[in-house]
Amino acid sequence: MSAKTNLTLDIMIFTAFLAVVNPALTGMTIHEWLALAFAAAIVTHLLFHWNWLLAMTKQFFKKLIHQSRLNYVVDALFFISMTAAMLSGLLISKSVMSILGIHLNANHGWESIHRLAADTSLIMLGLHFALHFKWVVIHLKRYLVSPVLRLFQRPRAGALAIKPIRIDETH
Amino acid sequence: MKTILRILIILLIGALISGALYLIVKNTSFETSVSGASHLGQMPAQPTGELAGLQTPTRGADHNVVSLSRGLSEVGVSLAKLTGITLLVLLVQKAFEQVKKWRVVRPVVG
Repeated sequence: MSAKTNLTLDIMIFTAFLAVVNPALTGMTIHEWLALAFAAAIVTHLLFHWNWLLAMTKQFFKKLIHQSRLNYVVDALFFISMTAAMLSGLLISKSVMSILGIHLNANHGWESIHRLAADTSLIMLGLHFALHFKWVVIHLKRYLVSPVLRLFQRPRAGALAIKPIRIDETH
Repeated sequence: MKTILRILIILLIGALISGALYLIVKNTSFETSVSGASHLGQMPAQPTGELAGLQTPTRGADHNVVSLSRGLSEVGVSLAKLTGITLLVLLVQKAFEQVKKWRVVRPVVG
């Protein structure tokens, strides 16, 4: 998978995360459905990085660079907190579960867990972003900043100038 | 086929984590027993569509209302938190790099 596709998906996931984590922006119904779509996006993100995940899982207890191990731990905690947020969200859901015809007997305890998991996810996203900061900056420059700058860049003075042509007189 | 198998593995891990979390919550005192209004089965069906968020809230009160200004301010707060965490981690990484460099320049004599 190309870095451009990865970056596009990551930006979309990041935007969706910001929308999902702030229900006041969307309202509860959209919040619940958006969270389900977000879960699908997370699965896609994991599929994009499957080879890395597999290699890291095999190598975790062997010789490995500390940074990679830290990345793996942060990613695992991020996945756990997101799963906790999804589970508690589904248990206290009003729109999604009622449309599916499921009536759950959840109580306020799950609301607290949902908030706690959402806050933990935000912290984990911050760590995940910080650990991949260099990659994000390099690729943002390459695929977003540079093309935009090129649009506004003036052509060089000599680039469009008419060059003199030498005509040889043969007769 | 390969992709479907991978998706199933991811969902299975998610289900295992969910199951473990559910059991932990059920078997500890974290879950408070609230009767009556908390039973979702007894609540009136929520309308869907654009007006759903504007209905009079019954539970999770202040979260049910759509407010662009409040929502955007909350997004701003989230972004500020993310920026803070990122800066903190980058500073820690920088500090570690400096310590490493310092150790290379001045090796520990022992």
